[in-house]
Amino acid sequence: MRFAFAVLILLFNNVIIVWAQQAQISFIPKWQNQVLELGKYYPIANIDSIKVDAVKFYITDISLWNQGKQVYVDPTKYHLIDLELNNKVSLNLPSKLTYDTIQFLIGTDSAANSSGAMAGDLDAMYGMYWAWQSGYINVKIEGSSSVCKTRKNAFQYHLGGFLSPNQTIQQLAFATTSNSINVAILIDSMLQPQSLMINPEVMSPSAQAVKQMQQFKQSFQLVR
Amino acid sequence: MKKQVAVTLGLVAIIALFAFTAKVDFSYPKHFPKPIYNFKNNTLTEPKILLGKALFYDPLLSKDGSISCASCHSSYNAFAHTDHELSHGINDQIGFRNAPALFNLAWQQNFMWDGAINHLDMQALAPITHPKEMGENLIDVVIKLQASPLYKTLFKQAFKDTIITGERLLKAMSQFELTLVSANSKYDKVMKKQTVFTEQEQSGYTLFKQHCNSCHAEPLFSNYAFANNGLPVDSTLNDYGKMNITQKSEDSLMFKIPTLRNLSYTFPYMHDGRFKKLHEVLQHYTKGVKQSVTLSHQLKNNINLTSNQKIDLLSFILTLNDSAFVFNPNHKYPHQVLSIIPSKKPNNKL
Repeated sequence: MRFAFAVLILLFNNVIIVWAQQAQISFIPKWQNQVLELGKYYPIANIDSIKVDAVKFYITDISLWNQGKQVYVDPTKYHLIDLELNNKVSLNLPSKLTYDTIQFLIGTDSAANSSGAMAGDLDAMYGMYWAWQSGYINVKIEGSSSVCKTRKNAFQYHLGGFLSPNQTIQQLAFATTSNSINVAILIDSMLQPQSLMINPEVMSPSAQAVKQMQQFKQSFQLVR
Repeated sequence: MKKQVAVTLGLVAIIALFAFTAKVDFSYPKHFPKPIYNFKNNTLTEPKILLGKALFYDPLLSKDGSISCASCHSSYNAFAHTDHELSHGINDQIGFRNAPALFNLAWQQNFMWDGAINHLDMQALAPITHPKEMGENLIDVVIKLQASPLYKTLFKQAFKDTIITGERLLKAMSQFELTLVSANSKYDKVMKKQTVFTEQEQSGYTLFKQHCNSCHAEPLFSNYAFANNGLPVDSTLNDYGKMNITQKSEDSLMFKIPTLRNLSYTFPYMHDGRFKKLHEVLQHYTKGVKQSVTLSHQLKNNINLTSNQKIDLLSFILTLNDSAFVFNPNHKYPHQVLSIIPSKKPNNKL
């Protein structure tokens, strides 16, 4: 009986493997339509230069929709994307799933920010949790530019905040039926010379952080 | 040395093996309210509490291996830092707040004098990473622990495997800190009808309920809310409390209301440790309250107490000392466990 059950399980697993499909979302940083290389200097504002050293952010609650109806929810709720180490999220989808839209949040939700020590990609050891106050850094962009009149010409954007009026989480949706979804992030649109000059450091929940999170969201573009 | 390490590790393993499945019930007296901490997400067990205690007392958590949590939160000071106005950190740096006493944490929602931290599990991150306290970062602590045979053993006993993560570290530290329950003072014994107040203590209790209980609410002797208690701003610190975090003017000078338990062990008092004696504290509330927009409404008018009433009130306050808690051997430095760690012992700078 046990043997028969084991055989059934084995068969069932094989069937799943045959029928299941995988979708992959890739996040590709861009600088003036070219793939951005971290640590490389780019010209900015004619005579100045800029170097981006780190781009990290959370993607939360990925879901797929078909004709206005939710057809899939990613069981791994939170993903830390670190463009130096990992820029892809894979989804194991049920067989023959059709969808016309992908939706996700940029940042972490209130539950993550107020439930104590979290595991997986939310582990505070990844340096995306503020220590001086409670809350995740939803987006971390760091680098340097001669535009910035700061120590070592550094700019640091640690964008977060989950309490009103400085909630920074952003929702985004793209129309797509593909299982290879490429999302470009136009980093240069976030790092305009004027902005780097006036606000080179944003590292606490604030209206400026909300504004820059909105800009970050707008920098996401589906590559068709 | 190797033999000693092996024997000690073996001892730890045997102790933990017996204790592994032992879920620890969080107990508290009937006159206490229900705790706020959600134990379902971090069930207390003996091996996890032991791990948390080892971490709490281990200077390995600091950048240069000189400061442990216990450096500023000593068991014999009710886990405060007696006689120091402001906390000490690595390289003999001085912080800008008084290290608060640690007990009855399961009943608290927000932590730090300004309420910056919203969950006990995340509190330890603040001193670990503050450049004037332990000056370390969590990933480096995890790397140091991963290189330690002792911690591999302790994590395995606590979590069934040797994987060391930030989440596990923080939750284990919470476990030890949650066991720091102070509920055995004379006041508690009176509430349990095991003894009675003296006449003077009873008079002080009446005065307490009249003048203090709205903020320092019994039985925890704080409602753990935030209030401006009329302290003039120290111009050397310019500390505006909760407003530093929220940037809201209505939070100016709001500090977390501390408990009145164990005050004999936890001087000096207030967020900046400005008062060394309890009579100075009473002097403030009777004569020194500074009026301001955010001042607690209970303090808009000075509290009037005669000299005798002050003594009666203090005699009641002393009934909140809990020597059984302060001298509880279960809370002390875990010599047997930490003696084989190749790092310095806690540097209790007094």
